[in-house]
Amino acid sequence: MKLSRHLRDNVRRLRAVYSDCSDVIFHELRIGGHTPAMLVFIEGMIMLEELDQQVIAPLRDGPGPGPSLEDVRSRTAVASIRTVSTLNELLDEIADGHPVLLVDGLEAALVYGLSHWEQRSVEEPTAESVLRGPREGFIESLRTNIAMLRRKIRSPKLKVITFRLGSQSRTPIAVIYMEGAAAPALVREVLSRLNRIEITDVLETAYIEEWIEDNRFSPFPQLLSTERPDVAASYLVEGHVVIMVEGTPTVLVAPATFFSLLQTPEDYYERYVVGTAIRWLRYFFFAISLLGPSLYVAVVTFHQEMIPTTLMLTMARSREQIPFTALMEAFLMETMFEALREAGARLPKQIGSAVSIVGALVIGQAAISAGIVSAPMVMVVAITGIASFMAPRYTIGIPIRLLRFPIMFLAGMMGLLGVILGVIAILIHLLQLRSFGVPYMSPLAPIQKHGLKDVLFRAPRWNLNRRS
Amino acid sequence: MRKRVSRERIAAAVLTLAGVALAAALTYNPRLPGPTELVDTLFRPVTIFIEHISAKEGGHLS
Amino acid sequence: MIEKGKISSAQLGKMIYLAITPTAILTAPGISFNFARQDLWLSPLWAICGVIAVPLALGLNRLYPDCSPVQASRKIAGRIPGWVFAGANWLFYLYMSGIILREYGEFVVGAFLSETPLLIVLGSLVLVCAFAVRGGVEIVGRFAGLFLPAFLTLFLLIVLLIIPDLQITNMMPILPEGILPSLKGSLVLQIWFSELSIAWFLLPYVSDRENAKKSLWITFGGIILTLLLSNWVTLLLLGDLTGGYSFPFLILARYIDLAEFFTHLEALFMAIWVLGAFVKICVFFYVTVTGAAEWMGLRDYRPIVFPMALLLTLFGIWIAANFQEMTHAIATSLIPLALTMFILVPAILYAIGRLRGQGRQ
Repeated sequence: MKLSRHLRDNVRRLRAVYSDCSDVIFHELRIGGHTPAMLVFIEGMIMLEELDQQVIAPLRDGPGPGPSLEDVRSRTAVASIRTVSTLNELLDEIADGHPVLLVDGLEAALVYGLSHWEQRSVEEPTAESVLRGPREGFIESLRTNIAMLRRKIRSPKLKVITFRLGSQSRTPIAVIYMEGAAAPALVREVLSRLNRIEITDVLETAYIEEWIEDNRFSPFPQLLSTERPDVAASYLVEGHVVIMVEGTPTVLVAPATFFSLLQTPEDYYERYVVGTAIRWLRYFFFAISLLGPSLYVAVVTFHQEMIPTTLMLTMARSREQIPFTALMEAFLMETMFEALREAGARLPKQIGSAVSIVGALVIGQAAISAGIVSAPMVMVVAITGIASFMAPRYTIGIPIRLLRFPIMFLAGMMGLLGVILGVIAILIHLLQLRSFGVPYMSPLAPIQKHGLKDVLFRAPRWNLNRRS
Repeated sequence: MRKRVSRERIAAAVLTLAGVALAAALTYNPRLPGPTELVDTLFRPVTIFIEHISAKEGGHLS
Repeated sequence: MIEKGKISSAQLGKMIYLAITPTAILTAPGISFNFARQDLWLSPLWAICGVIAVPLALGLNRLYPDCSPVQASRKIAGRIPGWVFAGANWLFYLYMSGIILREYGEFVVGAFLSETPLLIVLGSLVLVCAFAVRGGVEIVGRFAGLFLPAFLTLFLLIVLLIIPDLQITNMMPILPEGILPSLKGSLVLQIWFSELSIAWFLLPYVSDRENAKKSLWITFGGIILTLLLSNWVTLLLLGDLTGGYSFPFLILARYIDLAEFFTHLEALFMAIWVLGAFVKICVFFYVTVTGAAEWMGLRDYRPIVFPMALLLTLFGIWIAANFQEMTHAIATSLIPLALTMFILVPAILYAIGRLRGQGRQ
């Protein structure tokens, strides 16, 4: 709906829309002393002082009649001024925290970029901390986040496309990519998938993640989420696309491969030998977090001959009194562990870690003395738990924690064969998964030689840079 | 206009039926003569020849 | 063509290697021994069928490069004969898949999971294979690429670790009766070598066809080497007892004793061998399913995958009453059958195709 020439009509419409919104302020003023105008803004979202000094005062005190749009513009000392001519645009701008000026006789309104609100200061993200490297994390303000990326990549090739999603929440979204690095087809695909979303409110990137994924039923995430600008920037220069949502520090990176989810920024900040070694350690423990309890159950139930004799005697002794089979024991302990973990995640930081450790120790010890579980089982669960903490991202840790249980069950049914079949089944799923057209398991399958050197090792830096 | 039952579905149904029939037959008669017997009969002369040239005593295998 | 996926020539080679080798190293040494005695290590060298099968597959594909074998056989021999051949063909592949499946099952149950019903063991693997085959030739190709390094590594590891226990005297005297025994021993190996003609079924999906020839010959060489090595090592360890074991190579794995700590690692051998068997069954099952689907004139093979999986499982049980019967069949009647369907009939088709002047652009 277009704005009318008459101030009265516009104001009437606005007041109707904003009925019962006591924080929306309508400030009448007369430009130059006699042209009626109305300033509309949401208090709490604007720079009040600046508004007073740079807009209201000059407009009110300035010279006389015949204001045209240009004229009114030039009277104020604000750097960012835009014009809008429809009601919907006007509402969006007010909602964004920009004071708008309606002038009688003008069919457009002026929008001043004077928004300001309370926001969190930039801190290190708790879930993605590093020993060496920047400690900045994204915050909830889209504008600040984009600026953080601009500071990392100071090139005009860094393109930012903003639009709104959510019929009701009208949340600003930004799609960011590097021209020349990102395939145009990828950018187009991301934008088209975003445009297809029909949703009323977008409150977090997770809301849109499900909509734009290739396969939303898979336990494996096909988009990478991060709170770190340096991670986002490194993916941008490699040709990925970043999606940001106003109101959340978590941003999405598309496409994502299985191996990208297993990397940490620290891999690249350390020396190359160290980086490679730690990467291998991580892969190994990743396998353990998936297969640990299953291997134990399989060997103890079906393949006892594989255990060295002395160890086997000890284990047999400790398992003598246990009323459960190895499989049931494993199920019990793993479930308990997962419960403890989830419970510990919600506790305030100070007591959280203490409770988890004490809880685990005490419960473990008590269970052993009560003869409910055997000591080797507790060891296996503990090691598996530690292994699962090595997953660099929460989103990749979850599917593994979940998939552990079916594989355990298969191990209890068919021993090592069951484990193999379970792994094959998971691989079948992974090998068919795609993220925005990219096979999930590249560069391992299909084999891409130059991608491999970043997955198998962390190649020395002079070898890594394909772009100049 | 009702969609004609696709060829693929008919094939799937027929094959499944064949499978179920075979399963039933095997349950009642596990030693049902099978493809191996057919092949054996077809190539009987060759079988005899091979057994003859085997290095085991008595010309028998395994 | 019913399959839209594509594989690389490297994947082709890996798929075929894993489609042949795993069962060959498992049961072949035992059977060969009964013919060749201590000359069985030479048997893999007489890979006559391989030398015939590879050019045959390549030649057949060259006649109609982008047609599947079912379509090609119809074009070469006419609609009815081609249809008959295609039907016999997929039934034959179903039978072969059943044998391979049974071999796998007997191995797992016999050596490891003695309490588990054979049906469960067979059914669980077939189920997983069915999912993989539904994914198409690309998935199977990727699995081949993924599992080949693991398979080779474990194979070589076992061979390496057993070296201290080998006795070279077991292969003496060398060639006491000339080359005849080793030739006789290679007779059963011809089954495996003739399986190379399965390449004909995969060549239409290879994207870089120019490299396929090289890839196939490398695979052929790899198979000979692997069989040579496995036969030789088995012989050097077990000597006269080689023919008495159903799965001689397993004994090698059992024998490994490293610092008295790593003992009885045969379960590990089973695990890695299952990876190879999985790919083999996937490849054979894939050829069976696509062959059947095209023969029935279907547009998509996916709907029949699960019913055929059921049939395959049943075949696995049906084909033999027990392991000895199956081994006997492999050693005798299967040889002429394999030679007929893998070599003879495709060769006749090729001859007809060339005589009719086809494939000449």
